[in-house]
Amino acid sequence: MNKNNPTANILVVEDNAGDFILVESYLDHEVMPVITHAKSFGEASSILLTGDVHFDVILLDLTLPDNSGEKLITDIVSVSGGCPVIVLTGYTDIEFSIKSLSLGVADYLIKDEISPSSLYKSIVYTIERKKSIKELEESEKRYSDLFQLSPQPMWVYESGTLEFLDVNAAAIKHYGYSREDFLSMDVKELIPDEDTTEESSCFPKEHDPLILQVICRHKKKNGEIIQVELQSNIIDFKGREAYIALSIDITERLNYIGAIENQNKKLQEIAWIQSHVVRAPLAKIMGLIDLIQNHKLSDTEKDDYFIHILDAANEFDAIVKDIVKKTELVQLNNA
Amino acid sequence: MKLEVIIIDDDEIVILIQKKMIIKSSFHDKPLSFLNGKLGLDYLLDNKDKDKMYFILLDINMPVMNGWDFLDAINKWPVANDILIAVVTSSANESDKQKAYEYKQVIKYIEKPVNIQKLCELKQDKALKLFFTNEKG
Repeated sequence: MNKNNPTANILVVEDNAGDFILVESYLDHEVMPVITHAKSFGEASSILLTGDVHFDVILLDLTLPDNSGEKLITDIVSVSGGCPVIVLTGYTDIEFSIKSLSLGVADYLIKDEISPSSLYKSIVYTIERKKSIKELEESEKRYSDLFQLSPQPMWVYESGTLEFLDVNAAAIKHYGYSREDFLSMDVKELIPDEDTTEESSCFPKEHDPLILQVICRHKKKNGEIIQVELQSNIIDFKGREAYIALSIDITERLNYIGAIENQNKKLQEIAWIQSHVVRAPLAKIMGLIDLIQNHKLSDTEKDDYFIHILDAANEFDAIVKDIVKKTELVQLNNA
Repeated sequence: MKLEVIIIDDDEIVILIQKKMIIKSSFHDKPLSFLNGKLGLDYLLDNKDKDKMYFILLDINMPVMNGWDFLDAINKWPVANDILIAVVTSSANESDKQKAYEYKQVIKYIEKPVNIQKLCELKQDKALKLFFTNEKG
């Protein structure tokens, strides 16, 4: 609501005709509002509950024929649908004015002290404040959704005590602990007993603002041990120094890597055997044939050489069979 | 200076072939042979003839002491200064080849089988050439 856009919708709840006229004239001074007038709480609440008009602000007199004071405030706030309420009253009661703010009232104005500009200022401030509160709420919800709906387990824990402050659904599902279990534990309890000597490396030191990324082992509620990649960042959680942690289960990934490395080793072994062991008898056969073919040999020598060739051929045969067997083993292990 | 030729290989047939080839190619008429690196090393430790050039055809994969261990040993223990080596392997592997040439005694890396042609090429090696100066070509 400003002078370029003077279409603020205002609900004035006021039983006193004189006061209403005064307020109306004040408002016309500064803006060109669309004013709806309700003379009682009943009238105001039926206007609000139909929801036909969206009000930017409600001006509320605190003494109405059918409702007044604290109860009136609570009742109006409950039907206002989030629309900010400014109280107008003839009474100067500082304590009550403070209390009314805690009941959800945006501002508290004394009728005798109102001027056109102070009313205008209060309305503009109230509407602008409402906008930023709404934006803040949306942003908080966005972050909360990012946390709660993350497919990866996440949690928040207090710096120092390491106690869980919040966990998301994925953490509950993956680790098997209930929300209540988590909230009664600290993050150290996720570490298997045999790893406790290294546990200090799994968390950031107190007040450490750096992002900590570590790989460590965690124990699920059912006792299963998993390898996780943990990332912890410092955050402010409802006024407490805390860390938000993201846990990615890399157990399967590591198993795959292990299996691939194992297979590579076997294949390298086969390649080595092929190049060295297979060629050894083959080289002998080639050498022996070279001698028989190109050099004068006696008949007994020739006979001996043929026997050597046959021996080398048998040796060759045994090696090839062995390779076939080893290759089959690699395949079987991967089946 | 006289040339002495030594074959180190764990396979008797390989030794038989290499001996024949060495004799037929007039490389040497009485090559010695040992069945593993340890036996070859023992011989070199006992024989340090200053007037001799020891030329060794060395296999890599052998039991007891393999070719690599033998190469390490002759560079660590007191043996004759004049030793030349041709590494003879059943399969030429680039990383083995590079490793072999890191030893100062190694002048050649040969893939089995050893034949007349390969031995004749060795005769042309600058370190061995002087032993074959009386020959033609």
